[in-house]
Amino acid sequence: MIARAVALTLLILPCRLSGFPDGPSIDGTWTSVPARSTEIAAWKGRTLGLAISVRGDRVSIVHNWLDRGQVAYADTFRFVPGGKAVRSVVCSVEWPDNWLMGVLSSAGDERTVSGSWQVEGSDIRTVTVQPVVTSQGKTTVTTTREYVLGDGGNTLTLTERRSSRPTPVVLVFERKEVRP
Amino acid sequence: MKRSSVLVLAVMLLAALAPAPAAPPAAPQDKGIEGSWELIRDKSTDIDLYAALAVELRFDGPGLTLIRTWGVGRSFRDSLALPLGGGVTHVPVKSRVFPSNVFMGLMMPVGSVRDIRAWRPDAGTVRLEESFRLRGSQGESPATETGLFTLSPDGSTLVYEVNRSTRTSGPPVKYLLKRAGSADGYVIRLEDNWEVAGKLSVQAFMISLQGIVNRSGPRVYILYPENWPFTYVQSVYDFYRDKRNYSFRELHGAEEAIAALRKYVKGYVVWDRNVRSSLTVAFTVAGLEDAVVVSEDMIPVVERAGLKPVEDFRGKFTGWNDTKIYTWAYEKYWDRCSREYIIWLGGDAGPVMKPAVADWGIFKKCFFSDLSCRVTDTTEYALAAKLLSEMKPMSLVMGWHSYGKDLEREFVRLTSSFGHRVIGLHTLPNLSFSAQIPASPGFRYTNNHHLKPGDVPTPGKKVYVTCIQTDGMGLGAWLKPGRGEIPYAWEAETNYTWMAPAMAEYFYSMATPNDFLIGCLSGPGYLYPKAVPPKLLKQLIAISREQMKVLDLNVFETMDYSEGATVEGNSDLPKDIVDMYFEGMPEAIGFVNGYAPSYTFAVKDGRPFMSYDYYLSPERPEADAVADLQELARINPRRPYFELLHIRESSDVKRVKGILDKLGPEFEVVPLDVFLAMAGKDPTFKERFLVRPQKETR
Repeated sequence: MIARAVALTLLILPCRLSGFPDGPSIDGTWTSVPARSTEIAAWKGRTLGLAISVRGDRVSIVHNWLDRGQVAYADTFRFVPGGKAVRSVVCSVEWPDNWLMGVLSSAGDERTVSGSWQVEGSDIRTVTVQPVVTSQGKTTVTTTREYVLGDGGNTLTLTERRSSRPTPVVLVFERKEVRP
Repeated sequence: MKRSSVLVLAVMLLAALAPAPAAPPAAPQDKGIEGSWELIRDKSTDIDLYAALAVELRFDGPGLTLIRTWGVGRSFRDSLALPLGGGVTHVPVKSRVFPSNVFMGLMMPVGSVRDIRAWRPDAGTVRLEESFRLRGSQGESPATETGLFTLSPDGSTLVYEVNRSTRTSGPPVKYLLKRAGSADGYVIRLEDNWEVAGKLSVQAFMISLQGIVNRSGPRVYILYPENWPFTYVQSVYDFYRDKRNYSFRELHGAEEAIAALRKYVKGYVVWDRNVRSSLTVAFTVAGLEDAVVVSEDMIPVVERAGLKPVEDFRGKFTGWNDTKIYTWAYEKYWDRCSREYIIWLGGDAGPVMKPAVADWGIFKKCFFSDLSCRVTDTTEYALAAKLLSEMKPMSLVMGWHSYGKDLEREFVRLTSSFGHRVIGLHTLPNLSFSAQIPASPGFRYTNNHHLKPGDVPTPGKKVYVTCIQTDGMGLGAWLKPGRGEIPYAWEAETNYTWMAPAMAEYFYSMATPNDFLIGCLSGPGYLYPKAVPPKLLKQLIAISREQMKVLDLNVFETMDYSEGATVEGNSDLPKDIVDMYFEGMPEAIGFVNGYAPSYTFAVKDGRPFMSYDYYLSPERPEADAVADLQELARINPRRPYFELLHIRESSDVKRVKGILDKLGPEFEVVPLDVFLAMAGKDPTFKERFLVRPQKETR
């Protein structure tokens, strides 16, 4: 009986926390499902996890690159949906998205992040303009990411389109837990 | 440079370049046709009953003594003394045997006479003409036969061709003979079982036997299982047999092996199956005492062969950690061990050991260990550093780090810090054999250059792609499908110039016009230049330069993970080190850097120093790899764009071609030397070095 009550609470908790009572919320921690995803060229055995929090009108999306369960590199995107692009200084040369390619983040330069809800509380789109360094020098890559909930809020599909890449990267995640 | 420094460098160069291999066993120095010859069966017309043929040719003034012995044990000997110049000798027939074809119903009529004439038209040729009678089921008939003995240009083989009047169809009768006693070896096949609790005991025994026996010449070759990391084992064996005329007798099992090779062995050392590292120490003892290594269950085998124990480690190291074990070994054996070679018998750890390189360690009387080179493993690290510090500068650390203890980069960083060079892996096979087989007389290592000196093609507005396979020729795709179909570069182990010259010949003679070889890896052996003391680095580059000249190489590869790997570390090089390569290798048309992508780029006098822009992992799906390469071309918008690919050795060329074929019309795959020449002419990459933090001044 107690277990059923806890399960029910967990199911409805995302809705309440996010303040969007009409459906499941993107808020939470998500673990990747490699079998249903584009192969990510992550360094060694790294996997990608997402930690998304919606607090009032602010959204924080953290891409956690996990090495044996521990966060080896965290890429954080904070913004107000529909608001101005947020500027931040790139702190690390690491470009975690694809270690096979000769691309570095341009540490010390600014990147911008903006976002907008596609479905309030559930589906969100972000646009990042990221300075990078390649063999030919500095350039920028614009990345559009769409985070879309599915399966009643239990899965999340991230479709990532880089201005430089001919094909999208599609990553599927499962909800790990509900963040209190 | 001071004169004394030049002298020291020259001496070091000579020492490093030419640790002259010992002469092969019983290889007569006589280059002439005179001497004793024995049949190479696999390359000769079949001799039915007798199977074998030995020929002895002796000249005594105007006379020739020719002895042909058909068969071994049960044999037929035909001994003739003949004048040279065509005079007839009448030889009475005393035996009915027609030795070359016993299974045919032919016989020599006893009491008849053979009329034989002999000539020596030149120093390398002997010609016989013989007429005789031959009896078949329908009676006697006359026959004639011409025999021609011809020495090969290098003096190593003799061809004996026979033309008989009665045999007018079928393939020519031709026997190939080599000098008696030369190029005779043994071959041993090992099972794919390397478990400490399994058959490692037998494998270790065989490898130790190989190392000991090969001290007296290249006698024992081991055939490792098909899945062995060095994929060439069988193919190189075929090369020695087919191209270098080696004859191998297969030895089955430990009992047969020790029976055949007992005379080379002085004793045995027992290792403890319960303490894995006891085997590592046992290998050290094996080299010092000419003792085979055995586990307890194999003692009866070596006792039956009359061997006595020289050391018994059963129970000796129980409860000891590796620091204590190797410290004990250091105190007992180090003084007698080589100071130029040391073995790191790491790699597979725990319940498995694959100690193929041990034959070389025994051959060279090396100290063996698998000590951790991880700084935080304080006691093992300290002992490892102590051992390395007591080796001569620029020594060779053979084998590999332990997968159970540390990382490749930690191992190579430590060895490099003493100016030593690593030659991997622990699975490196048959070096005690291959080190003693010189290249064929007159063979020159010729690379497949695609440009004449001074040619500099003009690049178009395209994306130029070139591929280099990781980890050298022996590991990976060399024998896998697709080689030769696209331009491809291969990292050559430049120490093969002296360490395995015939094996280098094997690779060079197999190379297609699309196979381009380059020198590696940061020096004459694997090292991290940032970790090497600068004074030694200069000398090491000089050795590489000389080895590259021998191997006809003009591109060199560097790699440095001493400050960590590509993502979490820094694999780039500072300008002062890049300049050392530019200056130390003036003949090099270009340099490549990294393993995974790296970010050091420079150009000097049209010679580029370029880092890899892409690492093709074997797991990367083809479609994603295509997208990766296309994305790099978009993100690097200037044309020409030079896209340098490093291909993991476990990807075969077929797969790589499949990916490159999908890139589109803007891309062009070119040979590495063409790629570098164009990149040097129109360097659209941006110069970039590792910038070290400025040291504070007081």
